[in-house]
Amino acid sequence: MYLQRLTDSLKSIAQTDPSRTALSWPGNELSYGGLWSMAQDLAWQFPESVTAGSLVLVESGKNPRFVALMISLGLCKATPLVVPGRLGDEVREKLIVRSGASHIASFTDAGKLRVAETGQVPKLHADERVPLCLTTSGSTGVPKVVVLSKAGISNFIDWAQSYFSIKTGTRILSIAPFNFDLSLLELWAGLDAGAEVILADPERSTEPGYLMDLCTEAKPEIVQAVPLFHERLCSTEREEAGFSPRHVIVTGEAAPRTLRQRMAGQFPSAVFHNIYGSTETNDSFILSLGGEDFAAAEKLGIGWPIADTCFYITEDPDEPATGELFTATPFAASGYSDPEQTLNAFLPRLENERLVTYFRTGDRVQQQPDGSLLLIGRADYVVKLRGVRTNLLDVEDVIRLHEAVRNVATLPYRDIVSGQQQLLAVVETCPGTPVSNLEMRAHCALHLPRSALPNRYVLTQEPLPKTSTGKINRGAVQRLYAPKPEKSA
Amino acid sequence: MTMKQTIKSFICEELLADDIAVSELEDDYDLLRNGVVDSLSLVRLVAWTGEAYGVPINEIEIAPEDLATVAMIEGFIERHTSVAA
Repeated sequence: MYLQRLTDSLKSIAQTDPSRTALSWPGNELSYGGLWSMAQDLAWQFPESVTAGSLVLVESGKNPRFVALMISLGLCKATPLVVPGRLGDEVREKLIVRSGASHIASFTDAGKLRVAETGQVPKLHADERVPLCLTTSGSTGVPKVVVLSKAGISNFIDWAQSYFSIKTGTRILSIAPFNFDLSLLELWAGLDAGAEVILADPERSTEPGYLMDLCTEAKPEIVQAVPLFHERLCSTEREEAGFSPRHVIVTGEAAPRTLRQRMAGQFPSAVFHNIYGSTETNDSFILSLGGEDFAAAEKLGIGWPIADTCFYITEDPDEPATGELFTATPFAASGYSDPEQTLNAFLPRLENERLVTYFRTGDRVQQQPDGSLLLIGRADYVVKLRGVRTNLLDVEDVIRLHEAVRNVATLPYRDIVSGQQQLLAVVETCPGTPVSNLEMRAHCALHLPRSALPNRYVLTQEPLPKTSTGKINRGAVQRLYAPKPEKSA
Repeated sequence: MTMKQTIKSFICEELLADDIAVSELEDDYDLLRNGVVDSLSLVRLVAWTGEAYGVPINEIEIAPEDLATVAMIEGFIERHTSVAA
């Protein structure tokens, strides 16, 4: 991470309070002094070609070595591009070309730093010192490379430290892999303040009791996670949590009410936050509630704009106060590595003689009477079926009501005979609960308007493909099940 | 093949792309209400009754409700082909 304020903070803490814990993980910890010397050692090992303007691809790892490597790149004034661990060779190759990553840094089995040159030239503005590049968790094709900005990250660190009172010694739990933008709050805002970051291994979090044992021992004050991980934190048999966080943050997607009720019961004194954002804008909306309101809300909104975030909604003509959300946050990235992708998603608008760049979120929201926003779904989930605007998530909710259904994804496709948009429902059924295609149709007909009924259904007991955060991987479902042109005739 | 089976074959193969076996489709399953036949596929179904059985589709009034089930489609074809004959 090439951010001078962060490097300065880390150096200062390492000098004035070297034994203070920076990172901890089950049974072990590393001090600020230790982390700083690890980073310095690594910085010495980089070849001279890693310098200002270099873009260095690094695979995310949930360990102190990765954090030290990130800091050492800052010492070399180079920009890290953090990609998910164990990326396939083909995707990695495409990402290198797409971003122009000039180097790849990794560790040998013996723990030695290995740096390889790629022969590419970074696709970054030469005059801008880019602190960090991340990839979007895109479920289809090659992830986009998001180029973060110095001001954006610095503003975000300031906001996060103030809103969640992150100070020297504050204990923050970090569950998500470090290639996610969640790391800016959990890891970097924490280290900048002298906090203790508790490293949870995302891959081990499925082990029963792993997260709970870790938290009972380390007692995090701030817990941020996607619903999938909150589910795992709550699914333990123990009545008392054994730790009592001040702030519990849900991000990524909305937590279902049943989960919220369990969370509120488990952490009665916490403040709960529903955060909305994306890698491109970082957090932009927040709803903060006490446990009682958090558990009681029928649907949890995303609340109000964070800090100086501006937004507008492109309203649907037939649904007032509802439409696609555009946001401009003080934390925004400067764009993607691909200028064309940037032009499509980052839209400059002239407001009071000032140019404000809005990010097209692709999410549909509804503004509530009190001004807060409710997330309705992805804008691309609204399709016109039989002439009527239909939210595919509503259709999926209805299908999921059937007791035999475990998961579902609906996919619009174009019928080649009629040229009309039609809908395919891919339904994962529970083994041992037989349901026929015609029964599923009758179930949908009971709950949905006729215009919204899927045209075709595929019933399968094969689990639907998921992304690393537990969401259904629609791209993969599409590739597996979408009607082949010759079959839909 | 009986007329009902021919109708079921048409529905399963042409309208449902073989998602359902002919044997699964009951005579009285409501095709309209359950979305097997929508306004677009209704046009194809009606055209097929004209091609396959000579129903004079341009000369008669057709209410979608007359074609709600396999049994009703059979009745519809029988009614209109005997009139035409």
